[in-house]
Amino acid sequence: MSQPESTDDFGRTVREAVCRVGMYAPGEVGAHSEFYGDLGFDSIMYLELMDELEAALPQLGPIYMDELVDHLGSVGQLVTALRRQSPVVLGMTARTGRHPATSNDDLAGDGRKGMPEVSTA
Amino acid sequence: MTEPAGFILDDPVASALVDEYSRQLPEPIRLRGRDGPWQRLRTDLARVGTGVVHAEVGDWLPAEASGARLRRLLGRDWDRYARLNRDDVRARFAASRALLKYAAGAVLNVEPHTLELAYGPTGRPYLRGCPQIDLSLSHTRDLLVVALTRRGMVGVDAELADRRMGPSAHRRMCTPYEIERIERMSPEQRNQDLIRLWTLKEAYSKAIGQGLRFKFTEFGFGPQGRLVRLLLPDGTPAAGDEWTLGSYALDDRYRISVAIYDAGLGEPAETAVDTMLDDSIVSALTTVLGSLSRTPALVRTT
Repeated sequence: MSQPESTDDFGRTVREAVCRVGMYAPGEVGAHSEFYGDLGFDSIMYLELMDELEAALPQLGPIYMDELVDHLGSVGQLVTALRRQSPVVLGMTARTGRHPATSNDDLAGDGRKGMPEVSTA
Repeated sequence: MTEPAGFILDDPVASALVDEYSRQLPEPIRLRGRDGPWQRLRTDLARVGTGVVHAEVGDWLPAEASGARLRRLLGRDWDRYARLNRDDVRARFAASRALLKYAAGAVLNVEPHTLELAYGPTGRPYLRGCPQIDLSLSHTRDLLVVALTRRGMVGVDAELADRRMGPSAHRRMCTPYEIERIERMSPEQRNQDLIRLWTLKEAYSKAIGQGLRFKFTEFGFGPQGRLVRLLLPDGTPAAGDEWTLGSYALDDRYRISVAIYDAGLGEPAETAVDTMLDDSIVSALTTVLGSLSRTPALVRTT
């Protein structure tokens, strides 16, 4: 699988992984989509998502649920959290001087801290 | 019809232990609507300290999805409910909160809408102002489950029994001890056991307020057909008698697991709000009345 080379590719790759797990068409999932309220994700779907992300973004290395659970509010939040792990994107950030979180396609919507419904309630 | 899993032992001494252990686990109660049977739930709380109820989403849907009665019942959860975009998610959210508040209201002997459901820093739900009861909530597809305890902390989780787990699920959720055992199973047995382990792990991690933040590979459980005990990654016991854990097959369709932590609170005789005095209030009253009785002048003038 080819490696994403730009921040837009990175966000798209994550969204595609979300679509595969939730069985959504590509256009149905955006950065603002909330995993629970909009996409109906539950705990086992998060587990599947970790597998999809590891396969699609091998440069990130192992992806652990417990490290990402606080970033599973919206797809944009997840992208931002994953981007912090990405050596490819970190390299681009150093060149452009732009903070990854300000990329337009990945803003996390209302900024509500994600709290997966299934984790505790 | 429910079938408790994990309590099949032939040895008489072990059977006695299992009987004692089983007595602390309630049988899940099916609720078809707002009429209960609430007395069974109250009896379980009084007898074993914990009650578990389950229901179908359809039986607990509000009459009006955006009506004033639902708004009053949901209270502070209303804004969160209103932001949910999917109809099925909204329905489960409303129905689960209704079930939870009616069940807690039955145990506490108060009107459901007077209860305020709040959430801790990790999202763990609790009833504000009702520390005598801990609760947990789970839902999957059409099933809702609520567990309530007065023993300390409780967590509950439910899944479809035949839900397919991914080929690498065991790597993400199992201890080395569990993996060794699971890899010897047929694919069908393996999937069933993964669902059982997943619900047990979720129930336990919800009880301690960690949810998916807790590494599921760092604690485990034994095989089906044995007493359910919390284990370390190598399969050795991780806790004493303070945890009671159970897993149930429900209607051959769902798997429900419950984790109950006994905080050593003893045997409170009553949980109803109107017949229970908070210990701190009793202590304060005792102190004030004691000082009044030692101050004759003050007593005489009042």
